[in-house]
Order: sequence, then structure tokens, then C-alpha cells
Amino acid sequence: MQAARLHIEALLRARRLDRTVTDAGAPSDPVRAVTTGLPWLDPRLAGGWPCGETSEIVGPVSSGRTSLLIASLAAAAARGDVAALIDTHDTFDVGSALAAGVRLDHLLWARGDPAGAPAHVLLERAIKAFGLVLEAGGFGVVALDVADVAPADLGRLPFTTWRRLQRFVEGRDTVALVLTPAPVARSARGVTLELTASTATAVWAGQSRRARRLTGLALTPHVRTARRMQG
Amino acid sequence: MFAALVAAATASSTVPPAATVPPVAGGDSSTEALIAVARGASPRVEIAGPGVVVIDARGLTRLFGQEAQVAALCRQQAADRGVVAAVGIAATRTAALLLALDGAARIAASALEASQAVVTVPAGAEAAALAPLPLALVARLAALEAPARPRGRTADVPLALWRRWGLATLGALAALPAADLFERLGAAGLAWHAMARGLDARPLVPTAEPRPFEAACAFEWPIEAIEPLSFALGRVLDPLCARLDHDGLGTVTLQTTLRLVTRELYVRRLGLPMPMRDPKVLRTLIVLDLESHPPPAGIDVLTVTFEPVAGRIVQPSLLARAHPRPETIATLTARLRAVMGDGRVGSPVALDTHRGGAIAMRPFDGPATGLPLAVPETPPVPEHDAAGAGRLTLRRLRPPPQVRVELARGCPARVRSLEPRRLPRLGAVRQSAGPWRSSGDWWRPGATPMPRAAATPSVWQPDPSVWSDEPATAWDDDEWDVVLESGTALRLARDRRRDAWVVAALID
Repeated sequence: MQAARLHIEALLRARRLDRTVTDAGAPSDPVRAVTTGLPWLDPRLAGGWPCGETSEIVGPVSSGRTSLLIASLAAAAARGDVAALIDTHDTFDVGSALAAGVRLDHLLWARGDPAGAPAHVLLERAIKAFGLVLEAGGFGVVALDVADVAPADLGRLPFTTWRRLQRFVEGRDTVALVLTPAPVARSARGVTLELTASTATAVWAGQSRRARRLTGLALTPHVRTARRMQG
Repeated sequence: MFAALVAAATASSTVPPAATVPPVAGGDSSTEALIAVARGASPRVEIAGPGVVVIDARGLTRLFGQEAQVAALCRQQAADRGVVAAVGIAATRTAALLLALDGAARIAASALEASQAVVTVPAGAEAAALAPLPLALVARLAALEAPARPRGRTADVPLALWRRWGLATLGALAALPAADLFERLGAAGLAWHAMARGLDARPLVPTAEPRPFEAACAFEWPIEAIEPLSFALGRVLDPLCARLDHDGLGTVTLQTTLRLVTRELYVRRLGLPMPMRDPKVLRTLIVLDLESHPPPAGIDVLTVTFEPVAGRIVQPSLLARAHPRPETIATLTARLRAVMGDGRVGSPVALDTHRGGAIAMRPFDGPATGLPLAVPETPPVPEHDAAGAGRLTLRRLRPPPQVRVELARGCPARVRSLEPRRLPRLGAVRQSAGPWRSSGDWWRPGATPMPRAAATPSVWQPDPSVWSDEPATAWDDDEWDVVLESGTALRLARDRRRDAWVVAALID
């Protein structure tokens, strides 16, 4: 039994197929992390988003997931990095990004055309574009926004899709971020940040009814990692 | 043995300093004519200036006879091309140039017949032949030679100085002792002295003949698919790019001309963001472009043409953050366009408007390479960020889905989706803020005029152009931020002209 386990672990290690069960890929190597753009959140992620890994922002509508994504893009711009956003359903708001500090000339924006293609075609194109950008390299943050894709459609993707994408980013100073309604894409040493939405997440300003305005959403993150945070 | 050809009209005019730069082919017509004459005689030709060409005439006597015959032939061929030229042949390049310049000046001053403007000096007799010539010729020659002179080594001596010294001819200058000249005037004095004696300061530097950066490949059988064409492209592009590399050039346009089996020409022209010469990148760009715009028939002949410009010189910095190379970006954006569609890939651009969601795109070229990036000022972090809240971030819905909104005391109380496939779950409003009125573009010519008020509610189909990248119609909206019982936060917009509601954006 022990020999069989060692044999399987050796195979996994040789083919670099797993870094959670085995110690393939030297998990003791320090993972460089970059800030999420929200300083209060970075300590909970051991410094921020891990480079060379695929991390996820998971949450429903109005959970603050897009705010976090935009903050991460702005932080990349502040570092002087070039960022890319694969916008599956063409929902990117330029005004919000500018207000958050995103440098538009540092952002490569690939927009899906939801009016021109069915949902599964949009998703396939977005995944392909995500892979192309990761493979090209040189980007500080590459984000894939599939938040408006039904979880069932995401679940129909082949199991190897995310592993193949992870291979592109491994060993690079690139953060791969996936904005998704359900956890699907996190790599072994990546982070899944789950956010929840409720009426309490809305932050209002102004005392009187006429002066009241919505100023933002309070994030309630729950961090999931495989091994890195356990130490 | 060298032969110098100088166009008479050019010699008569005063050469300004800026005009001393050797012209490129296609500039002055008389220069082009002289270049054609010179290249017909010898492959080693130097364009010394506007209307001034020097030929390495060694060995020409075996083809055309004696030196005088060679000179007469060159002058006659120039005349056949409509250029009156003086020709000087001497053992040194400098002597030939001075003799030709003198002849051209005398033709221009009508002191010499054009047919007589041919001077041949045997080897060793240069100083004697140059001795009676005016000293101003050296000043002209020094101006012509200035661009080729090493930086910092000037031969600029004022002509008035020589005149003050009582010198008027090259012979008088050549008779001065070189050591004393060097003591008084330095290296410039020596350079003038050498020129006056007809000595060369440098050898003839042939000007390369411009060759078009074009290559073609004809196929025995027509090519129907793009994949086999990519192999042929490799054969065409590799030598072209090697030439670019050798000459330190890059190309900014790629023109692919395909002669089809229907005898038609199919031309695709690609503009590059910056000069490139990597054959793999260029091949990928052409293949991706042809995949997006395939030719209508089989291909008989493939021709690729470059537009060469000076190559891009980049000094990478150890301090600046590494970015994707321009070649990588060009290839990547071409691939992304093939996947996402034309006009769907680039950098976002904020428009100067208050219209919500108005956007435009521009090609993504990446940040400036090799320069340290200026870190922009980070926007101030709102106070509530410390408590875990982000900024107000919107997710635009393009085009905005229609909803039906029930009002209670003038405020949204319930939202029902009219497009359940896009917005499945809405419901009662728990909190709301608004309205904020926004209108604009009513002043644009051709914009839809705003009616004062919508008398009756009607079913309004959202105007796609309102939310397009280039909006041109007027808008007049009331906007509300609402939070539903489910926790979903929306930005609702009511078109005041039609009294219709849409969800402008999700707040996320």
C-alpha cells in the first residue's frame, strides 16, 4: 500500500500534476504575492494575490466582486504593470475603473459580444482569449470575467481546461484572476475569495432621505486556500 | 582614378549647410540623373551631395577608352538626360571633385562652354592642375564633406581669413608650410591644406543602391488554404527580414499581394504599431489577417512588400518593469481579434461626456518600452474602505435590459424584469436613493430633440445607439440607486422622454 502510494506520488510529481497531495513543485518555495488593492484584505491572503497561480473571486451580484477586481487592476497599474481583462459579457465600466485608479493605457480589454453569440460560444471565446494572453506573458494581472456565465455552463467545461491555463502562468510574475459565480478555476496554490451579498453590504451616506446616496459595498470575504495559509 | 560629376545649376547656387546632407534617391531630379549615369558606368558610386556624384573609375578605360573619352561619355549621357554637368577625372577623389566643381561654376557663370567642361588630370599632376583654381572651391568641398567627417573634427575655416592672408588660389594655399598652418589653425588648417593639394582625407564610400523590400513566390499549383501558404510566407519573409536586419531597418507596413487563379489581385495591407523585422511575428500577423479575410480564390503568386524605416533601438532598463514586447502585443492583439471579433480588442478610452457607460476603444500598444513608468497618484481611499467596503463599481449591461418599476410615493418600490433571461431575479426594493437627473447631446446637430414630457407611458425599446461606443443621440434620464430585498444593488434609469425604465448597471 505504501509502495503504491509512493509510486502514484512519484508519477504526480514527475508530471507536475499535483501540488497539494505531493510536494511536487517545491511548495516550500516562497510565493511572491502582490496586493489586491485593498490594504485591509492583503494580510488575510498572506500578502495578496499569489503570482504564477490562478486565483478566484467568487460571489453573487452586488457582493463587491467587481470592486475587488477593479481594485486589483488599479493596484497593477500603480505598480507599473500591464493588465488584461477578458470581459466575457462586455460589462466593464470605464468610469468606475478610472475612479479606482486604473490606467486605461495599461489595460488590454477584450470584449465579448453577448448580442452576437450564444452563451456557450461566448464562454469558449473568453477562455481561448484568456489562454492567449496568459501564454503571451508579460502581464502583471490577467483577469477573466465570467461572473455572468451560468455555473452549469462553467461546469460543462472539460476538467483539463483550468489546468491547461494554469500551466501558462506557472513560474511567471503574473496573477491570473477569474471572476466567477462558483468556484471552478483555482490552482493548487491559488486563492479563492468568496464574497456574499446582502442588504447589509450596501454602504449609504447622507442623513436625510434627499441627501442619501449609495457609496459602495462592504466586502465580506471568506478565504479558501489549499496549503499556503495553513502554515 | 576617380570621376566627379557636378550638375551645373547646383554648382552655381550657394549650398546652404542643411543642403550638404547627401540626398536619398528620389530627391533632386538632376541628382537622380547623375546617379543613373554613374551607375551605368561603375557599381562604385558615391553621392557626395545634391547634384554631386563621384565614380570609382578604375578599370573603365578598358571598357570605354582613355580617361578623356570616359569623361566625355559621362558628360554626354548626362546631357542626354537633360542635365548640364561638368566632369573631372583625377587620381584622387578630392582633385576630381575640385575640378568638376570649378567646371560647373564656370558653366553657370557662362565662362565655359558646356561641351568643354571636361577636365582630365594625369596621376601626379593634381597639385599643378588645382593651383590656379579659386580658394572658394575648397570652402564648397568642405561643406560637402561635413556630414561624412567624424564628429568634433571640423574643417571650418572662414574664407575671409585666407583673403586677409592674401591667398586667392589653391596653389597659394598649397605653398604654405603645413606645420605652420597646423600651429595657427589646428586640424582644420591641415584639412584645407590637404584639399588644396588634391589629397584625399578619406576613401570613396559607395552609396548603396536602393533595392525595394519586396519578394515574391510563384506556385506550380494554386494554393487554396492558408496553412500551406504560411510555409511559403516563411520562404518569402526570411530573406526580406534578414535584409532589414542587415541594414538596421524595420517595416511599419506589410503589404501582401496575392495573384489569384481568376487573374485578380487580392491586396491586404497591415499597419504595424512600430518598426518590426521578426519574420515569425510578421508571418503570424499575415496569416491571422488572411484567416480573418480569406482570398476568394486559389493563389498563384504571393508577393510581400515592406515599407522600411529606421529600426527601433531600445535600451532595456534594469530598473523599469518588464513589459510585453511590441511584437508580442501585435501578435497577441491580432490573435485576440480573430477570437473576439474586429473592434472588440484594445484599450478603453473614456469619452468627454456625462452619458453613463459611454466608451470608446483604441488599439492597445502597451506602455512606452524601456522607460521607467511614472506611477500615477493613487486615488484617495474612502474612509469606509477601512471597514471593508470597496468603491461604487458598476457592471454595465449593454444594451440595458428593460424593467417595469412600481413607484411608491415617487420612489421605486418593486422592480420586475421584462427580460427574464438576462435579469431573472428582481423584486421588492428595500432601499433607494435618487433621482439624479442627467441629460445631454441635445445640442448636437441631428440629435433627437427632447420633448417636454412624455404624456403617456409607452413601451420603449432601448435605443442601442444610446449605449454604443459612439453615442450621437440626446438623452434625458433620471437615475436611481436601489438595493433589492435579495441584496442586489442596481442603477435604474428612467428615460423621461418615453417614461421607460431600464437597468443601466449592476452595482457590484
